[in-house]
Amino acid sequence: MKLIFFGKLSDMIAPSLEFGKPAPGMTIRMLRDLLSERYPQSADDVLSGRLKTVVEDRLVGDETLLDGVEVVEFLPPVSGG
Amino acid sequence: MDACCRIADINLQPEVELAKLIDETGATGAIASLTGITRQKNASGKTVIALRLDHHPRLTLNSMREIAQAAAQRFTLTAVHVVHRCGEVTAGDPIVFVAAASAHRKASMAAADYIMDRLKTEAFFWKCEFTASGGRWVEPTSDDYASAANWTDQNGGN
Repeated sequence: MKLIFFGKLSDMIAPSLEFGKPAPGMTIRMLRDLLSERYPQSADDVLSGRLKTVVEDRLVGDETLLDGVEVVEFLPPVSGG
Repeated sequence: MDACCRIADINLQPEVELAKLIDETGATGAIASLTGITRQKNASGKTVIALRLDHHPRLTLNSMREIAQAAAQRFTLTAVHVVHRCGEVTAGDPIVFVAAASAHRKASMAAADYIMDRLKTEAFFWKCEFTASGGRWVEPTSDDYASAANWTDQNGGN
């Protein structure tokens, strides 16, 4: 499974990384918790309620299962305009 | 009515964009436009050298279209154009252009305001501001969120 990070998370973690196959039953929430442990400098942002997660171009919630998911994208708060 | 939305990787020319809209809309009644210019000073008073605007390859344009189409419906617009820069933008350069056409001025002015408020908090752009001290990622302020929420509060939805 590939993880793609935008905005400040691309600097704090990486623009993208290969995560490997998610464990059966793993959810977005579990993935966020894991990332916050692996990259403690990004913990506040990875766990923030304003972080959006995307699978196949759709916003998904924390309870989404990662079984069979190939790419997860992480979108921190935006700043257009 | 189709919303005309575009991400520009170079050289946003607001005067050209406005002229196109005036030409397209004919005797529409009113056009309100807003050009956002990259500020020379940031909120801390430091001199901004440039911004870098990252965007999502697909979702960004979709988010711009959704906002523009919502404005068109809400304010009964006859046309709406939204152009947003991406990549490196030098201080002093235009970063965003919004124009709304309608039969009467109040609708077009409110629509431009609405679109800007939502672009700042909902369009998928990420802005990194470069000063002599280095880069800093910019996020919406509490005022930005409050301005966007005002539109939701007024009618119970965007």
